[in-house]
Amino acid sequence: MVKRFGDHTALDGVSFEVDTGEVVGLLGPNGAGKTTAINVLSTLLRPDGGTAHVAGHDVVGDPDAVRRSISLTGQFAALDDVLTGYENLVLFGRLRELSRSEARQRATELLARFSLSDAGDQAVSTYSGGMRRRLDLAASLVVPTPVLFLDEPTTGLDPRSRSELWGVVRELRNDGLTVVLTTQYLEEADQLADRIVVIDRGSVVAEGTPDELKERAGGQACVVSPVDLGRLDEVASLLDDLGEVVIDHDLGTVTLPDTGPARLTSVLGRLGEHGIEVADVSLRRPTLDEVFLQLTGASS
Amino acid sequence: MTTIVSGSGLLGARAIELSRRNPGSVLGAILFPLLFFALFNIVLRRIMDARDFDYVQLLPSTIVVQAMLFAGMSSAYYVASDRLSGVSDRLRSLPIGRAAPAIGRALGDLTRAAVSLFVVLAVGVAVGMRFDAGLVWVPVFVGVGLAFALAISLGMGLIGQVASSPEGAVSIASIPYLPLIMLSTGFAPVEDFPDWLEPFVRNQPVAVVIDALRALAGDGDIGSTVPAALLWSAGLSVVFIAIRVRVESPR
Repeated sequence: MVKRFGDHTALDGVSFEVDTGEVVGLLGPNGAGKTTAINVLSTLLRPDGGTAHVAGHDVVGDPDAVRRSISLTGQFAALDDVLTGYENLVLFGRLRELSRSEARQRATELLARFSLSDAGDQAVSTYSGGMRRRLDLAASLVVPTPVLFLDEPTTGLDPRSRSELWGVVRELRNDGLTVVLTTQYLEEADQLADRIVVIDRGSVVAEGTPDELKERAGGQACVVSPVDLGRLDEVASLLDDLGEVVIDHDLGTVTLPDTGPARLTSVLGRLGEHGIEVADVSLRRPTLDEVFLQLTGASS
Repeated sequence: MTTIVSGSGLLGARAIELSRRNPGSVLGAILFPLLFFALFNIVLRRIMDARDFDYVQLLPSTIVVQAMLFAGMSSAYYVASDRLSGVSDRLRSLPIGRAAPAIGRALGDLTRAAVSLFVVLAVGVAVGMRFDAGLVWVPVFVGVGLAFALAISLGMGLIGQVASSPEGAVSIASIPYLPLIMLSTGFAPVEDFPDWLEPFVRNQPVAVVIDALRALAGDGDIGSTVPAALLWSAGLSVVFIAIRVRVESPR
């Protein structure tokens, strides 16, 4: 897909596929083109080039069929503040052609499912951020569609509300929905997505399962914490020739990327020779943060 | 497509419900026109009566047009707030027909306008306004008023499409209101204006609609004023819809 706004190219040939029943995370920094991609896929924007099919329908050629197959939960809780949670859900049910009684029944069910039954009769303006988000998601599920788009579903939420929402998204995956979500949080993509598509400057820079992406950043990293934190720099210079070391003074660690278990012995040997007492040493997979920085760091 | 009909109806009902829950909106629709009516009557009636400008008979038409302008202004607010809250994006992603949100909005505005119109009319009649041309013209009076309200609602909606906040939309929407209502025959006869302004005062849409309403109530020539008023309303509506379609079509 290609999408330009004046001189700015928001989507520069971004291309990916999502299987039925898969949860795919579009991951990228602010301005990478994630929301633009979602807006093209949900027929809000017309692409300037390329093609996109959602549930088998062309977004340009047959937007009505696309709209019948999708639900969009945008970046902001798109709700009527002066109406109650229940009324909001009934309205969206009715707009999706449920009868009045079906819409009411469905609204009651969804309020219960999203732990909002007690607040159902209150105006949405009295809701917390987490409650609004849950209601927003509920509004997208009034009539289940095969495809669900979630644009930054947890941006601005506190950690507890975030993990609640993650639980909801996992349930949706278990229900067999196809979910495309965007996020700036690596942890979120790691937690929720079967597959991650990393987007930067309007094109795909990497794609794969969270594990595959971590693999790409190289093998395991060795993390050393000396007992005497004053000797961090000394540790770093001792290991300098083995790879690109990273000193973290806050955590009191020196990280050496791409260390196989074999090199671990030489690391420990050198430290021992110089009499550096080690409080902790571990091998770990790189975090998605490291992968992400490696993939997008050069350009952004 | 049945969905565009039901979708528009549901969104019209939503628009009415949103206004109904907004105390400012209810006051604006009912109290504000009445206040204007009372104040102008108190301040200017004696002066105008002395000059054969029968305020009790002529003022209600002005207040009706003013109420139609107010009803339209609320459109700017609601269109902007739907756009900025993301509600309009969600609606656009639903299979309800592209025009349904706009039609729903217009239905809501027209309902609000109708409430204002009937309140003003009831009070006008209570204080002595008469339909001297015959009661058969009352429905036409209502129709001319609402046709103008629709045109204004469509125009104000455009402001809501571009404004950066709902409050900003209302501020912009209120800019054309004062010159249009003050530079008209609504509150003072056309002779009271400077010569160079008279053509504007006679022919601008607010003045033309006021003239038509007055004619329908018995002061003026229905045959010439009413078609002019309807033409203005229809013309403005067509222009505003054309711009709206351009603004809203997917880019």
